[in-house]
Amino acid sequence: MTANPRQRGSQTIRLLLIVLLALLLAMLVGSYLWLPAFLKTGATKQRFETLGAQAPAATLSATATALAGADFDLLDDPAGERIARDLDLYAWYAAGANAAATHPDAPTVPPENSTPETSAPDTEESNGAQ
Amino acid sequence: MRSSRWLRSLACALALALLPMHAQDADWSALDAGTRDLLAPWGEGWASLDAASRARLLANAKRWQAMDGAARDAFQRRSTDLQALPPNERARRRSHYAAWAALAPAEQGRVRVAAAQLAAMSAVQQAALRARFATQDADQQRAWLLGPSDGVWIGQARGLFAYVPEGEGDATLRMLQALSADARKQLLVLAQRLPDGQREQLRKQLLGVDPAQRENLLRQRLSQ
Repeated sequence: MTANPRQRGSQTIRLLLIVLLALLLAMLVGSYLWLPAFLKTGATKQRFETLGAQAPAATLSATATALAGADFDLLDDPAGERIARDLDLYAWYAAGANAAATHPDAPTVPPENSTPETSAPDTEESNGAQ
Repeated sequence: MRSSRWLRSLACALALALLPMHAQDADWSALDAGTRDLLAPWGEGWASLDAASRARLLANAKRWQAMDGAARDAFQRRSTDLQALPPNERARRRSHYAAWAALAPAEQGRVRVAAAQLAAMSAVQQAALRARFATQDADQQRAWLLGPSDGVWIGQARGLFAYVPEGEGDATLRMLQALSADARKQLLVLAQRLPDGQREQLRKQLLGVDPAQRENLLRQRLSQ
């Protein structure tokens, strides 16, 4: 009763697979029981060096920043900027107070939801302004 | 035909005439020493900056050089104050100033007069006015940033085109603002004659045509 060579080969592979599986199981069980020291302490090999503090490549002076800033016009025109803060309110008042006298496109149709009725400051207020 | 060729020739001649000016701006060594000192951080890449950036930097440098020490200090203080504002207030001031700067001088004059009149009022009167202003809806309040004349016009036009689809609001606003005084009058008359559906069609038509053709379109529609 001797096994033929093909049967013997498959038996060897099966044996090897069983040994491998047993080894993996042993490693799995072992990983629960044993923890390497470097994982316990967090002391890994230092592969990266911390960069030393250094100055930025270039910095703009306050003047250069002002010259390049998008706000140059706004900052250079304080009177205009102050009016612009309430531009909507002033424009509404300007239109309402003297629309009929000076506005070339004086309303030919009453606006349905906005201006003259609500926007025109009443006479008392207008008089108060004069 | 002949006039368009003439205009094209004129444009070419102008472009050729302006070319050396641009080339001069692009030449760092051609700038005076004071300007070069001020703009030193940009010196190395000056020629590679786009023309608009170079022009802006040069204009700002010129204005800076015209300021005395006190004016420069005040400028820096205003800059610090602006930076210290909360971002939304800073953005509001920027957009309001941009709107102010975009107004025609005559409109700016009207607004200045109104500002002076309001400043002369008592605090109670001012508060009452602000409260009345605040009763308008947000779109109409924003429309006043276009100035007194356009604010009135946009108020009227918003009544005509009350339900503009989302996403077409800005384009419609720009289209309405760009209409000439005559075209505005024609639109008001025409829109009164049209039922809502046709009015909306007209709005779409106006958006669809070349801006230069809008007045013609309105005239044609009025004559129908």
